[in-house]
Amino acid sequence: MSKIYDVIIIGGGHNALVCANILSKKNKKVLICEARDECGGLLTNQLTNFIPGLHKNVTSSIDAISTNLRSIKSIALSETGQHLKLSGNKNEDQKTLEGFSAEDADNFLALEKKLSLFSKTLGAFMQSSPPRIMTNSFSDNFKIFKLGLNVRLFGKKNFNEFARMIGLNVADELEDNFKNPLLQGLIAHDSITGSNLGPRSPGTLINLLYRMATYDNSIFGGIKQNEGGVISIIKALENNIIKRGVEIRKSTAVKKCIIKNDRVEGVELDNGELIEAKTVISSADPKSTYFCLLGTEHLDTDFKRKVKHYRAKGRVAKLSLKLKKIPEFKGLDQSDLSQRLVVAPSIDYIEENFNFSKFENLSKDPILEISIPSIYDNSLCDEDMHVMNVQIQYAPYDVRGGWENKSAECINSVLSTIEKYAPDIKACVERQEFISPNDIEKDFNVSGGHWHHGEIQIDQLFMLRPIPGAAQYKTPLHGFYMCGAGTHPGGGMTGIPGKNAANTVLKDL
Amino acid sequence: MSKDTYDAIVVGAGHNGLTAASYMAKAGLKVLVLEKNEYIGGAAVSRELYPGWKYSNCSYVCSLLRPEIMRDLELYKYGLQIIPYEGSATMMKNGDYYANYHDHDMTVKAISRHSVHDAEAYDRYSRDVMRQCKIIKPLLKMTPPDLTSFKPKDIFGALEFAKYFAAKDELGGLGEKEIYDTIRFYTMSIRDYLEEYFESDIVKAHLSGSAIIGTALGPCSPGSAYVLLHHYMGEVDGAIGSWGYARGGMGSITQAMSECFKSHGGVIQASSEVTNVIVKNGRAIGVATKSGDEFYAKKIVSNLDVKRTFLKITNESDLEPEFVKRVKNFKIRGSSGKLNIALEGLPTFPSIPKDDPGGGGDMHFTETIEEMEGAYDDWKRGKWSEFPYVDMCIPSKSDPTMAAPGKHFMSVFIQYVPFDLADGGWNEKKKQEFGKHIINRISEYSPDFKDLIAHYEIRTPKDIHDEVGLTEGNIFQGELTMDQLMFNRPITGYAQYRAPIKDLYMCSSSTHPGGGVMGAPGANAAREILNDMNIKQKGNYY
Amino acid sequence: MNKDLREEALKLTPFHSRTSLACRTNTWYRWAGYTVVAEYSTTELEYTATRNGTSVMDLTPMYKYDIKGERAKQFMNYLVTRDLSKMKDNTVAYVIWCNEDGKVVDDGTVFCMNQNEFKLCCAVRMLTWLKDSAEGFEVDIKEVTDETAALSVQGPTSCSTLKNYGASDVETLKPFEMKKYSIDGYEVLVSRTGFTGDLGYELWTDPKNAEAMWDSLMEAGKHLKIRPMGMYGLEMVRIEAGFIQTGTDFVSSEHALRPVRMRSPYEIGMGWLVHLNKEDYFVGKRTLIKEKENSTTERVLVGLDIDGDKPAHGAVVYNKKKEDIGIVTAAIWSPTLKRNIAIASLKRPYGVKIKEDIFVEIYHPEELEYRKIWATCKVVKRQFYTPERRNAVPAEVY
Repeated sequence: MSKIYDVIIIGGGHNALVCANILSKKNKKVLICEARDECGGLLTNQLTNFIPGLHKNVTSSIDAISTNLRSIKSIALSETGQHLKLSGNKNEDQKTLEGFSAEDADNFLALEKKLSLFSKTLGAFMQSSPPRIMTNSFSDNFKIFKLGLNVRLFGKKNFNEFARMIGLNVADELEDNFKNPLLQGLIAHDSITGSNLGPRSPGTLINLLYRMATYDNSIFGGIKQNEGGVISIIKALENNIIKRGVEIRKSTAVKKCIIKNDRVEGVELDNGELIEAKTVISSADPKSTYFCLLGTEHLDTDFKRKVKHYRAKGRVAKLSLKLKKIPEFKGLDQSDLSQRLVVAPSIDYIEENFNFSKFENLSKDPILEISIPSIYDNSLCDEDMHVMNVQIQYAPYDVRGGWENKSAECINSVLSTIEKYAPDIKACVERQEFISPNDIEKDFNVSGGHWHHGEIQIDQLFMLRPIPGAAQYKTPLHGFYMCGAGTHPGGGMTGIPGKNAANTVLKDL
Repeated sequence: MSKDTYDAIVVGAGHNGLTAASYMAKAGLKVLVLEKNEYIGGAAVSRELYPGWKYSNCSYVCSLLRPEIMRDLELYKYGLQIIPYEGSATMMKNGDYYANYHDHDMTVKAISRHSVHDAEAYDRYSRDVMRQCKIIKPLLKMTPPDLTSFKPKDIFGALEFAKYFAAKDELGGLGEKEIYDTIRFYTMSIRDYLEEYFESDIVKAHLSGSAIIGTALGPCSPGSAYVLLHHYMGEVDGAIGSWGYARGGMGSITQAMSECFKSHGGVIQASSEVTNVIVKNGRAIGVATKSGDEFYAKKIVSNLDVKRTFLKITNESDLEPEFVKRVKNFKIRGSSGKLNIALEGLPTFPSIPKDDPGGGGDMHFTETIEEMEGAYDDWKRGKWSEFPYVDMCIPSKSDPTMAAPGKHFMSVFIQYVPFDLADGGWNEKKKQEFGKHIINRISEYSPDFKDLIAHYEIRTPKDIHDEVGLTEGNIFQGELTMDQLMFNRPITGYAQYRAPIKDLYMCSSSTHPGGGVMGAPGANAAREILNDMNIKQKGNYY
Repeated sequence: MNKDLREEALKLTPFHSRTSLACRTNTWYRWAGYTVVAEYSTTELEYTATRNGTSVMDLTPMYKYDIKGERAKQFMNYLVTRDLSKMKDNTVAYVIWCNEDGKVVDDGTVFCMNQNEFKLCCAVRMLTWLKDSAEGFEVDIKEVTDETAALSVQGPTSCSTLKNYGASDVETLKPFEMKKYSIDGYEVLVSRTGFTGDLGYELWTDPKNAEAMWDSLMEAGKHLKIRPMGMYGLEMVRIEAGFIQTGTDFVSSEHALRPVRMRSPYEIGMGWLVHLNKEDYFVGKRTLIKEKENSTTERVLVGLDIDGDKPAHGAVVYNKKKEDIGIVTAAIWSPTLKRNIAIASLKRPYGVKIKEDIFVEIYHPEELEYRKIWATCKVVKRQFYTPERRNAVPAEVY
């Protein structure tokens, strides 16, 4: 048994890479074991359309990486061709919205201002390990006090608004403020993506705030695409840590942790090899981490109950199309096509989709987010060809009939839906690849195939994420930590869980 | 033009209005209650709509009415008697049934017939929900603090409020774990919550009914678990979570209250619809009625829901536009209908064995949460549910005063019926169609039911809106979602029963702790008013 | 069909036809969803049968579970605090198990049928706890309460009774051993276990043999002073023996509404069953280690020897400053010991370091009035009555 590593990180997603970077900067000898033949986890060019870019607090704590990020507009598609194009730039958006309704434009600015105030506070709270309550620890109480103080400093009116909004559903707020269904639909779409909630489900407003906290505290701003896709960011992260002496072993699946006297002492690989380390960090999702890597015989019954009931069933599927040519979208020009195209024309459209997915059915008129990155970035595809990545919201993990039978149907309704906006789409398709939540589960070892490693709902956030009582990147076992999207503050390409976890580990070491 | 002056005028003779009025009259104030209808009681009434039958034609069962209020107002003296009932049942299409009983062992046995696992899980479920009931109970009696205020009183209020979650209380102190559980309970959907305990569809469907009654939420909507609490936290003589009938119908509650009120010198004037709150120099000084009368008082208390209070009887010019906007955006969605039926005999429900106590209380026939959620989806689309969740009960099985011996009154509560139909509003024809549909649904479970009907009344949310005065027919006078609960109810920053206009108060179910025949909003409001008048109060409620 | 579906409140045990006939007072007791006899004729006589001859008690309502699978033993060892890794076939072990906070869920007996097959017998419904605990262990857990008829046969002549009944070499069974017998063509499992503190056995069989078994036993014990005993009698003998009962002496942590009511093993005198040096993890081990290291145990369960002869049911316990230091959870006047005994839960250090100047306040009913008695008491071992015959091998034969 070798004994050269301080820390072993299981999984090589971006949070793991960020975590490894911070640890290696403090001269910790780190090994990353990645089961797949490449790092990045769920961040692949196929799965990831748009990103906010790593959070500035993350980039400032790791080695500099060069990215080539391009800001993206959001376009809510309308069958009439009267699309709504929003850039995240206040003045532009105000003008655009005024074209539909002056009142909407005013209300949009007011709402965004209010929400960004809240999302900033939320964002600050995301930056460190969530406090535990009732522990009488000074730092925990101080964190709660600080959050409370920040919230009180909103002023009376905004404080009241914040109190009201915590549990609010996004549809009510949008209907109270806007008349334009496209605008309502687009914001509602961003509030429910990846979740198992409809726009009328209470708690969806906090999802929007959550998203805004990572997207520049704005509703439509901060959406980016990287030249070469997300993979090139991953490569950059990898290169940085390799320079720091971090070892990355790909195609190396960890079978389970070695546990002695209630302490994690290393890992056992699938091939039987044992690797020793005082600290092991899992970037896998909570269920896989606890039930597979750790082993249930080291956990208490109540804890297992909580892990078992952790909700992590994915609701997003992906259709990746190889196109012979770019289809013609009514009312969109070439530069529009390289933006984010969203098919979610109204709240009711989304809610109706949600109604199907609640019963594990598929809608014939799905909600789509479309990206054609190859227009801008020809490194992503062969010459003369194009790639279109379509994200399908509300594709239930447990679809009735099973994905092996249902994927054709799903592809068909996706293409028919796109056809409404781009009539020649079917003729353009050369090849198609469909990725269901089940495929994500299998291919990426994410139990449930959930993009965020678990539902983003209040009962699974903050000090409750992933498991109440084990939410501070720590686990019941000594020397074992978590750093994946299943921990606070959750999924998305932020790197914050990785950063916070690294800091927690360093404090303990 | 009458120029009588009072210490306080209460607008609306519903149970909360009468509770507030009675507490004030008991404290020695001269109080007038004005009611628009010719009968009093609001949504807690017993009405003889067909000769020989008493109809509890709005609210129909009683459990939430705070015992301290019954005690303070000596309601027994004025004829109030609560009759507990023995059980509840869900009938199944295959002829089987599921029942819950007053007796724990029987319930466990009944569950184990459907799932042994669930029968065992029921203990843990009961404990966890009971814990939540115990946590919320003291909060019902409190005025929610204004969290934005830096006044010592409000800061102490906030601490007091927080204390029940943190420090030593009836539960002997909650730990970290219980607080996490509470956060989860308040924010989860009833489906997710029940799935942590149960596996059987029928058990989950039966238990989740309480989480959707009266709300515009479905069982999959986060926050619906809390609504469950709103139906569980009541008690009949200390048996938390159990329900009963008010002897003589729900009207006997408001009747008893009004007798109490009158015995303390209170005056009730029916058929007097208040059309305006008279405001002078920024103070509410009186009210004007439809007939042109004006009444003056030191304090004006509105038992109308928050929308009616501020959008209908208050001049918009007396309010800040921001406040008016908040009121306009207050969510008060009608989602329930009712059928009130006079029966010539007791209908048989073949799937429930004769004399099984399970049939003594509420009966249902929704077998899965999916069916319930589907009913909700219909509502969202602006249709009444094709397969609605119904809560049927026959109070005359236990109450000899509702109908002549052998005759019965049946109350059928129907969950999800929209206030407005997508195909262009309610009319008589659509209403009759809706009624027929429900009767046919019930007949599927009771072959002789149709033949026994002597008379029936159909109540859509529209009817409840028009007649009773609950906006959109929402039975809670406002959705019970987190954005409208505790210090957010009815409007964040105005949760202390005081309206933005001086001397105008709110005491309806639009205020904390919300709907149900509970009386707590009325009693809490009365306490605030009497405090403002520096009048000492006694009683078990405080 | 519907008639059959009708829910009766309580289940009847397979011995009901016999117990109801023998029960002359028609006094019944609700136990775990069953109805069982509380008192057949006179509780004192039933009690005396356990200390003088043989008493027979219907144990069927005890919750019983079968746990099978290749990892069954590993699972049992993970479930309970006691180290079962060396448990042999055909032996029984008294165990407790805890939740993650190290608070006792229940106590019970584990029967090792073979290394892959165990039975668990306990007082509180445990199926969901067992199943949730078994997550990841791939064991098969089945509730067999209704499928197993159980009788407890206890008292000095119980061994002789069983020999007459057909269990030929039963005297060679050591305490906590068990053996299968074939009697009159049916199979009976006999374990030398019990809840009376006396020589005694428990018999387990299929419900269809229940009535025959009852009849044969009564016949076998005819000259050995056999007598059925009800629940009231059991309560007396178990207090004398110092056995604790979930729901009486402590509340199961799975049932307690108030977190402060939950008890750790050290608080109910079960520390001896906690093997912190057990190699494998068991539920609650982390917290129990901390409790032990930081000495955070708050309460203790003790035996009290109380002055006078008035039983201290539900009495509050005080120190000399009249400060409330605990409560009596069970009490009787012991007819055998001629002592006024009680089990009490005290706040430490009372009962551990401070054993002097402890009083109980007894409200003794005397013809419609209560007499308040301020009685001094001694803290003593909870096992008030431990006769030698209880553990003698071979067992006493008459």
